[in-house]
Amino acid sequence: MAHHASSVLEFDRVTKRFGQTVALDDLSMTLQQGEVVGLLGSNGAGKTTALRVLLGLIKPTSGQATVYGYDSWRDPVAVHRRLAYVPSEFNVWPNLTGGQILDLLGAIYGGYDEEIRQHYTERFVFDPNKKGRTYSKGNRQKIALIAALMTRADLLVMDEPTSGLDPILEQEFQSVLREAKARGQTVLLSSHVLSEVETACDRVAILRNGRLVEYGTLKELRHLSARTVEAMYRGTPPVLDQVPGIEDIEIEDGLLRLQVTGSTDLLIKALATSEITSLQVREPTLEELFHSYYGEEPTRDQR
Amino acid sequence: MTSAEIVTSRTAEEGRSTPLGIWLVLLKHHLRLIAPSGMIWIIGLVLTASVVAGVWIDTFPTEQERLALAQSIEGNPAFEAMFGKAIQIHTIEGFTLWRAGGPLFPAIVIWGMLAATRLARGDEDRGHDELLLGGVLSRRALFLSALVTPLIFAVAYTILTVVALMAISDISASGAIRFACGMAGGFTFFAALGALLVQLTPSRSSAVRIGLGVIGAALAMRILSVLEQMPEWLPWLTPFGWFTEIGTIEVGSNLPFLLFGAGTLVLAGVATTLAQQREIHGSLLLGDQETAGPQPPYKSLWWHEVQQSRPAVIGFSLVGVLLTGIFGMVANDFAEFIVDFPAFAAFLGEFGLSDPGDPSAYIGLIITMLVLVPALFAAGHVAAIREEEATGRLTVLLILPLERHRWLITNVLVGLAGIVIISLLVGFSAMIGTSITGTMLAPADALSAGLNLIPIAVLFTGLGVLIFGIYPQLTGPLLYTVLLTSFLLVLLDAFLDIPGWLITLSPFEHQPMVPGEAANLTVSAIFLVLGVAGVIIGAIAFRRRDMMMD
Repeated sequence: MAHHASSVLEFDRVTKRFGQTVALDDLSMTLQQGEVVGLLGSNGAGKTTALRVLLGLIKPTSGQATVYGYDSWRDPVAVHRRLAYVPSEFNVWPNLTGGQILDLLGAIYGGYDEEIRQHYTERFVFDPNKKGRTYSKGNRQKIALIAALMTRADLLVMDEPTSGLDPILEQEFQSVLREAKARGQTVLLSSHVLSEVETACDRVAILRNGRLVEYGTLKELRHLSARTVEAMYRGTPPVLDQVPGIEDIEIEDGLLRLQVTGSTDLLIKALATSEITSLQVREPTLEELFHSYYGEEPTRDQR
Repeated sequence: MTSAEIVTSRTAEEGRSTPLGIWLVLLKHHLRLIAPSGMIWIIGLVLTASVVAGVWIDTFPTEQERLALAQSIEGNPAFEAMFGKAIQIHTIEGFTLWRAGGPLFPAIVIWGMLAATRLARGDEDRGHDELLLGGVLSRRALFLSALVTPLIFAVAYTILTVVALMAISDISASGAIRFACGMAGGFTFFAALGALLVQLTPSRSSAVRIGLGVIGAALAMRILSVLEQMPEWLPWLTPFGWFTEIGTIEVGSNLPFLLFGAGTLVLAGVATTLAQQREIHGSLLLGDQETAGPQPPYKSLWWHEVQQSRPAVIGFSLVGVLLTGIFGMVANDFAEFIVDFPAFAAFLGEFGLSDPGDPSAYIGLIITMLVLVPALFAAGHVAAIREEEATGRLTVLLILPLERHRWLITNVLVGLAGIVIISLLVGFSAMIGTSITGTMLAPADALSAGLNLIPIAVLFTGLGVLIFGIYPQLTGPLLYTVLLTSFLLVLLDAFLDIPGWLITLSPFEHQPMVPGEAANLTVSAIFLVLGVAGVIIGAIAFRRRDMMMD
């Protein structure tokens, strides 16, 4: 059973090695009921491996992944009764129509509401009467999305679900996510689209080289990260030698720009020694946060 | 200079190859694509033909024996149905063409079809061609490279065959060249046909299905053409007939070479013209309907797996029924012939035929040969199981509440049902074939012959599932290699002094020739037990291993 009875999903010190390569390194994280959590990382960071461990498709070298208290590897069927999965690449059966594929997936899931399926079919503008081999990547992705959503599973696990979708449907997907959250469904969303994660997710996990380097709400991450300060001044620039936690200072034509981490009290006092005409403190976007974790040393792919 | 500076300092023209250089790179890529399987095909084909020619002198050491062989075989529909028209088989040239070419010609044309469709459409179906065509490469250049590649393999095969035949036997240069060129002619003809079919159909798999159908029909026509009531021009309608008409330099015809060459050129020319008119991923004749209309619902895994296996079951059944039916029709001729030539009965004894004068013994031999049909179906079925995993489609099913072993066992049981259907149809088609010529095989014997094919196919199913569970990437290659090698061992044992322990390893060695012989329940039980054990161990191993996609 899971260590935390209240958690929907838990990685407990999960390590996965493929030969000499460590794809996941001591990963520990939990998801609570009704949360939407974004999983970020560069190519090869371990996102898909983490999801495949969670789904019981591969066995962790050590540690344990549980979903609703069930061990993913030992009891995958119990896990799969509670979740639905959207893969990033969906290879369909070429001789089956989209409708037949949805029939099959729904039947194996154990049934679904026909009206809900029809609703998402119309909403994603999907034609279910074509043969699988004639569908474009986007249309194949729609099948995966409809199949997952029509089950109304408690947990949705999505691996780059909008890859191949057009911008209008990407937007539609955002509202689908909001509705899922409103219904109380839990979502684990792996994505490269940072704006998508920033808009939809309550918490964000950042993987790097198989390790979880950050996990928290955007607010928490922003609090830990540097904020950008821009100040216009007249006369001499302020003296900042004694201010702790500042870096990347740029002074040019009456404009001071810097990054500050932690409290801004001492910075504000230091700025007050000059004639400040405007002051702007901006929190980092998710994109800036993400780059801050990937800017320090080369990733596994870059080595 | 840093790499970034190098990038900015160079012009787009620097480092570009000439059009010929680009085409040669492409050709190398195409050669590499089919080289592994091509080498296996060439080695197998050259080795088998060389062995047949090499043991000819030992098998028929005197001129008298050779003439007796020719008198007994030439014009006998039973043997000519098996290996094709026999011309001057008292010479090593005529014997090699007849005895080696008979079974090897269908094999080499299937290879030609598979290789050409792989080259001309395989990459396109996988979406790789967009990358190539997105550059400076024209569609014509891409297609020509796909056409030239099989030609290179045909030349390599011809040279190796001539060299090997002449090194290992007393065959004349003209005999070796006629044999090798005839085989290579069939290869290039069907390769060109494959390249044409992929222009007309929506995918490589559709082209292969139609191509194999054409090959099966051509083979059936060649077999039918040996019947007395058939017109003499019938063999000239298909490349299979052309090959048998090659004969020897003294008695045979040179027209087949001209037909192979001209036919290949015409087909390749039409294919090249059509290739430039076809849209990528498109089809000029058999298109995928944009809207398939109302389709039967897919309401269970069972239904799904049955639907997926249905085309293969139908295809293998048709091949089995057609071949057994035709051989059943000539069983009586065989029995009459063998009564007059007891010496030949002794020769056939090398194949394990205990009472060749009995038509049912001949049927037993043929059905034993045709055990390859359900066995190959079984291997193909297990290979398709692996394909589901390799393409990632299985992942989509296994993230649903579906146990791995349930999915696997469902697939295996559907495959077993296919094996039973194919095996029984083979048995009963022999009964129908013999009934046409008045020597009807008893229904019980037909049933027994059909049932006798099942255990060995189950055994190969078990072996396949075992490999799939332990080392999935090797499922298809290893299973087919074991199956074909063990079959070839038994065939070659009639000519070569293969060590007994090695022959014993082949399951085909233990296969009784029902209905000519009584069924061996012990052997059948061992095959079944080993097959089931393979499935169980494979299923357990599959449950314990990671999913592995390509």
